[in-house]
Amino acid sequence: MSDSTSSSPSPTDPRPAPGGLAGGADSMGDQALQTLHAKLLRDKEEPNEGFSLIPIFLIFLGCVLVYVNGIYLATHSGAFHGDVFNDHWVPGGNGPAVLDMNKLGARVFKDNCATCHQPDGMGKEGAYPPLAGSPWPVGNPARAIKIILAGMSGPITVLGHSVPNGAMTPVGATLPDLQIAAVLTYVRDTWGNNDTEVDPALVSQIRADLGKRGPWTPEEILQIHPLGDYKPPAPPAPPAATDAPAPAAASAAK
Amino acid sequence: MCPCESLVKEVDPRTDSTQSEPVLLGQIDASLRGPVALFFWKALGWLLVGTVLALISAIKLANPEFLAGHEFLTYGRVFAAAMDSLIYGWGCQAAFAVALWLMARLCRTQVKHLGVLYVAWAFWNLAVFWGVVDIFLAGPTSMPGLDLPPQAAPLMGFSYVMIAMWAVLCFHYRAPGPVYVSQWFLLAALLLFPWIGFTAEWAIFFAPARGVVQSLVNVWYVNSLLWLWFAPVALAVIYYLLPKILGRPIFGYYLSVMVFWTLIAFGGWAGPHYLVYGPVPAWVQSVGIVGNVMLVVPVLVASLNLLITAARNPQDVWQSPVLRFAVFGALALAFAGFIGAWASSRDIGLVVNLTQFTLGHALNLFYAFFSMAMFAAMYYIIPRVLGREWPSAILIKTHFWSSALGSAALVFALYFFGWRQGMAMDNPEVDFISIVKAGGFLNEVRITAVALIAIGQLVLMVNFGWMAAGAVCECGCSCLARLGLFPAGGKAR
Amino acid sequence: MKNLSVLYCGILAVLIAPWCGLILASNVQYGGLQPGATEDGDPVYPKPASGIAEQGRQVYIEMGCVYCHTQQPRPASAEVMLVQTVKTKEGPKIEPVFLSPDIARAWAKRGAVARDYIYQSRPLLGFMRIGPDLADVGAHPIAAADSDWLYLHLYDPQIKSPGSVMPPFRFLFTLQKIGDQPTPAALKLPDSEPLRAPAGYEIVPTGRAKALVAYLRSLNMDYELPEVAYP
Repeated sequence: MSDSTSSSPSPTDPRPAPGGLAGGADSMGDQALQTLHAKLLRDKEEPNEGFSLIPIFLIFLGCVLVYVNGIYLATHSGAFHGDVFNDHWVPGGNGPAVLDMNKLGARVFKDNCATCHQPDGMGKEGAYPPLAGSPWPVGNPARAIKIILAGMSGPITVLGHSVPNGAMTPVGATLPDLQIAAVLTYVRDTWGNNDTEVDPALVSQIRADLGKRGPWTPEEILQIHPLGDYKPPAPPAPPAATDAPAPAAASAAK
Repeated sequence: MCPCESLVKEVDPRTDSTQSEPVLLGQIDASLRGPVALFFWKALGWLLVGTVLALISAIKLANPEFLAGHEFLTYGRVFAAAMDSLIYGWGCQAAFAVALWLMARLCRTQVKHLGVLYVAWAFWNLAVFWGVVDIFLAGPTSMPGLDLPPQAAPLMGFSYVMIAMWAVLCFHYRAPGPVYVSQWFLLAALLLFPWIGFTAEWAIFFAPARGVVQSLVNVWYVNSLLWLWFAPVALAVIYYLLPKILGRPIFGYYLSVMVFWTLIAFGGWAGPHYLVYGPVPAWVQSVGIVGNVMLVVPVLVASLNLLITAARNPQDVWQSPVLRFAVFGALALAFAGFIGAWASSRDIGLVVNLTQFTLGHALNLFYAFFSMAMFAAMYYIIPRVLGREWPSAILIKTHFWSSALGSAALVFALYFFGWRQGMAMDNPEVDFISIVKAGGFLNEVRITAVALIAIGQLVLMVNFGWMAAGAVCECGCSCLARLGLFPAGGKAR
Repeated sequence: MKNLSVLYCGILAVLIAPWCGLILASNVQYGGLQPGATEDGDPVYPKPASGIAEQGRQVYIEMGCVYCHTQQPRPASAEVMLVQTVKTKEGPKIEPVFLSPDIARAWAKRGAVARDYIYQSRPLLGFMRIGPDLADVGAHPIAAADSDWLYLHLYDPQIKSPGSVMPPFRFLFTLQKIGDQPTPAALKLPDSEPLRAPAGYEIVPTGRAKALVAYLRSLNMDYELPEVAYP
């Protein structure tokens, strides 16, 4: 369509005056537009250097994208389960995601214990006993679990540090069993301490057996679980191949 | 004649194909004058309203005490009102005007019974107005993109049907001959929009799904709005304007089939990338990521088609204001498509999801691509429909530069600062309040960019108003002259 | 395009495919979840919200809080608490199953899953974190311990978080003359607060403020579900 073919348009002529702003005279009429492009659909451009590669490149790109995305979709979709939210989940392929009790214990310790026992486990002279190298958390875990659950109050001497008015609140009364087991595992594995992991099931059992009670005195608890029962544990087995994690860790994973 | 036949005859938009093309197209332009002009006029009004509200919300982010005493002006309401004014007031109405005009033109059909369109226009604007006022008075629905009260939806749906059915009828009764790619884009958009709107309103408000399924529908809706409604309309416009004005065919036109099918095939799946690491199963997140990455194909091919066509005629593109807007839009699409594909992966999504980055991506698509294409369409269509020229070239240039610079600045700032915000949020050592304070410079850039954009739109409104006033005067004068009330011999122009 | 039926069928197909594959499939798979318990006999979670918390939820929606705050803590912790034995070419390795830092920030104790939202008539996931994630704010030590913190923060966020961009919600409070005795619920504003009540007056939360705070304090993800345990 060439708008300039007509003479000066009448006032009611809706066509825009030629040479106007914003587009002005069209260089191609609508019919020509449609017919020309329909031809182009059938006859592609004459092959020129470089341009004929485009469709091949696009096909290649399309195939690569479909392939890569297909593999991604197949491997990162948790086998299309409705209750799998972690894309790394592979049914039966990798071992179960298990809890690193040490790391959890470190966090629980930082949040609940470090204010008194200090982040380095050294306690405070005259106020809070140390845990580093102390015989209390190692050995039979039941001792420490009972103290955490019910608290302890009374004078105590640990590694030469005397704490005349020791008073530990029952910190574990509001903590889940898993976290108590984790923090004890952590304490038993840090600052030079070396003892086995603690099973959350043991914590549950002790909590149930203990019921509600007031804080222990040091004599009371030592009568049930005397110190000096520490035995250095056997060196840890190498990590299992795929499907046999340590039993304690497996039960912790729930 | 049976009622069906007479109804069909009433709505049949076919025109007399024996007429010469200029006359025929002139008739079509003249016939659509009222509805197209009204839709564009109202769309511009809502655009200005939405941009001013966006400016207010940007200022509130920098200074929380700004306009802080009143409940109806609290940040959440202003932001929601801004978003929905822009989407439903500006975006949808501009798309309606373009779809009607372009479809009628390319099908060489003439829409009859314009009264229906006027009624639909009135109802749509009424619904959006009431909805936005309701956001201020009663609060948003808090589902992003769907903040208008659900009671407005049936009215909007009814208006939509009244509008879209004409465009679809035009296509159905099109003049014999080849079909151009713009027509496919428009047809697909017009058929897909009511479905996504209906599903979203139904599954979220009228028969709410349980729990996060609503959120999934919400992100699917917002994404489909961008890729299956706004993007095809904008592509239809750019694919039409480039060869029309340059006088040359689209480069590699046979590939546009690929653009069409891959866009609408993959566009609907890309929604869940907003929910990566969110409370939806892993497969939903992966599907969203795959959808986004596959969108690279239509974006790449459309860029090949459009940008190479433009690059072969740089002088002509630069000199035509219409094409400047159109090519800017095409560049923005390319940018948005590639950035979106990159940012949707889990590793990057961990950084950028839930930050300003996602807002930047949405604005990249909605403003820098769709809106700029709509501006190109306005500058092209309105002179033809009103039969006048734009009064001022300076205002057009001002509008282009302020929109281009403003939207580029806004989008880049949101991307860049969103990235930094994400990196800081992913580092638990960094205190949250210092992340908030670090956003200070972004706020300033955002306010400046939005203000610049608002100035451009004001300029466009002035230009349009000036032109429309002239058209109304002319129309009024010629009416009066016909009635004999205007002194004979007076110029009717 | 020669064959129009191909076009129409194609458009229909691309409409139906994500609708079925994403939305319908999601609705079928997790659109009918019931509360769950980690083991037999354990209490089921989540619990439906109670009266005043539901009213507060409406206030949260009306204020548009969702445009700055999210309620979707992302899973696992940057402190890498989950490990997994993974098959690699060099043999089995213990590798971290890592993800987001939301837990290290104490925004929650675990990532959110679909079942957490089943009793929310409109899930308020949010999409931008201009403010912190609120899904577990009721269990946050500060909010749990100090009931005034949330009221003060709503009245003037600058009191507790100087430099915050959160808007003040003073319109959720009223100024009233002190009667025989100050109301227990009256805000105890610090001396430096520029918007203190004048002498003889007190600032009291309205019912909406109380509902909103009750809602925030009810936001609690402090329970485990079969598909997700604490890390």
